[in-house]
Amino acid sequence: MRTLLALAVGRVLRVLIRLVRKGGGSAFPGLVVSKIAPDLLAKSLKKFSGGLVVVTGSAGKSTTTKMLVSIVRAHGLKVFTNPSTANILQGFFSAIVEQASMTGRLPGEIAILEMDEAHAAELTKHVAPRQVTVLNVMEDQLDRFVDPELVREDLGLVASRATTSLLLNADDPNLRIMLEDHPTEATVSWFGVDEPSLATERFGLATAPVYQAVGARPLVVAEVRNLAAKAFDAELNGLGKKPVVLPNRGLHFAVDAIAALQSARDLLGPNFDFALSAETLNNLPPVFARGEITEVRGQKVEFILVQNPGSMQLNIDNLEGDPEQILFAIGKDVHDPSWMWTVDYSNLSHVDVVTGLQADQAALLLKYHGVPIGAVHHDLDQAIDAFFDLPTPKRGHKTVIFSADAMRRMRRALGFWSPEEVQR
Amino acid sequence: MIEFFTLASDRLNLNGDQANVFVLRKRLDWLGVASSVTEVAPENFEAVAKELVASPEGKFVMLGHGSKAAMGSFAEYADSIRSAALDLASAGVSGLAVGSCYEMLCPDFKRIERVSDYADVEANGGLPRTFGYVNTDTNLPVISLLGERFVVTMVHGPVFARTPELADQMLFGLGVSVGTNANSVEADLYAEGARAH
Repeated sequence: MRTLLALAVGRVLRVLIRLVRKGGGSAFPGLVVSKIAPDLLAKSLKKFSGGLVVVTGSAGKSTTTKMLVSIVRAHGLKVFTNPSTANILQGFFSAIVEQASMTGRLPGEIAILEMDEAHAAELTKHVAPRQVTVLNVMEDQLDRFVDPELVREDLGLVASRATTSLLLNADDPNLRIMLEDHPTEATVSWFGVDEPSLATERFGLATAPVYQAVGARPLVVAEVRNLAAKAFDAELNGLGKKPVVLPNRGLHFAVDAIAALQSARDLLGPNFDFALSAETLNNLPPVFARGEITEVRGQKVEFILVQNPGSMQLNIDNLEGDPEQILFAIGKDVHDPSWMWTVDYSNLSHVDVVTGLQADQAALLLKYHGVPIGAVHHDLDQAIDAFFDLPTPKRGHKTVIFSADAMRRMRRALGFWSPEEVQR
Repeated sequence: MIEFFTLASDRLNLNGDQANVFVLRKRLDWLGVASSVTEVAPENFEAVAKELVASPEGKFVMLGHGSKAAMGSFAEYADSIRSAALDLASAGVSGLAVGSCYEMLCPDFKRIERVSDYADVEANGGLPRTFGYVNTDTNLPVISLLGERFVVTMVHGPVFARTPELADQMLFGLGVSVGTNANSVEADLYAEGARAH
């Protein structure tokens, strides 16, 4: 009865919000449902015959989950998953509001969810995951997480609750320490990247330093080899190598891909088809804001999402050919932009427009780093107009560097209504 | 020439605290004043501090905030660093200790409920009102002075950029004739905007 009431209230709220805010989602209905029926989420997740699979870690959760879901679906399974970045408890409740039957049953045979580190630690207390994939520990969201060691602790709790299999990144020493601190009865396997591929990025995987001796790198059962831009060889122990061409360039995408492949292999067991899986990855469309070039107002634009020191440094380093026009937007999701001061901006020649709810902080940072600023606009619409009013670049395309909140606001301002338009 | 000495900057920069050295040097650069920065390893801090105590003029010491792992990596030197840093403060050396290094210098505190938010706080000891991001679970004062010129604070990240009055006070203490210029005016306008926001 409580489930029925909660879902009815949530759905009415959702309809009302969509009437007044076209294209904009809201966590509010999910929040209300979580207050009325707090145990609904765990109950719903326990109903999947194939169990719950969790993908977590500081970075790469969305991409890895999308890849894993695509592979598993290609094998014919019906998968329930969460939209990109809706990876906290409220987001899960929102998904229930949208997709569950009035008895709280979600569609699909198996749930594959990306989960925020802290929220995963909370949720898995109530629903034991069948399989957990942990990607990394980074110095990320420190205003919230405080210290990488505390993130490792949360991830360790999640990992230790895996009932069947646990997959870990062999190239992040944090995860070796985590496993020592939080042993598991699940089968543990490791994925990784060969040394030449790691060397393709200036700071490698940019995981949080551990400043202590750790055991030798574990033997991996899945490895990225010979990474060059978007292409690499995926080697799975006992199954050989397959070439993979990713939709986006970068070491982190390759790590996400190898994690997804091995996760699918563990999940599907003897039904895992390596060729089909590699082909699925090869056919994935680009992930929005990860180097994809889109046309907006008749002009080509590259959208680049930055979320932490690692991704900021990586993207600044990888700016192609000194872009002629750049918009730099930092939103409220970067609650404290202090971390942005740990990044080297020497590859950023200038910024035409600075905007976002943290526009002043961003401008302050750029000023001290000697990056010339064209204009600062606190109003996003004005900033977008000013940027797109600039003449079409003589070479290349326009470049937008933004944080997740600025991305969402810009998406609405530019008229991308469908979430799929920006997630895939 | 203003000389900066920074302890283990690769490890004590979790929240961008080393940017404070960068900001002071940039403001010096805008004033046409030369500066240098010397990296100090934990095992050498005591010896370097002794030299600075003997000649404190124009010297600035930076002790940033580090992760638990980073602090643990030089735990064996913590006592000697604390003692040497307190000597520096007593001798009138300018400096800044943030977060975990503030805790190291002033270990008599209690753990309280964590605060993680912006703060615009009155400071004692003649320090200006200070704006920045506080992330602490201690009852230590948010910002305070040890000696005459050694600031200890729980305001992490680029506090000198966000509170340029504090930056200029530090520079004045280093013997610099502080004045405005086009660059500092522009930077300080952004800082004012951030504070107002």
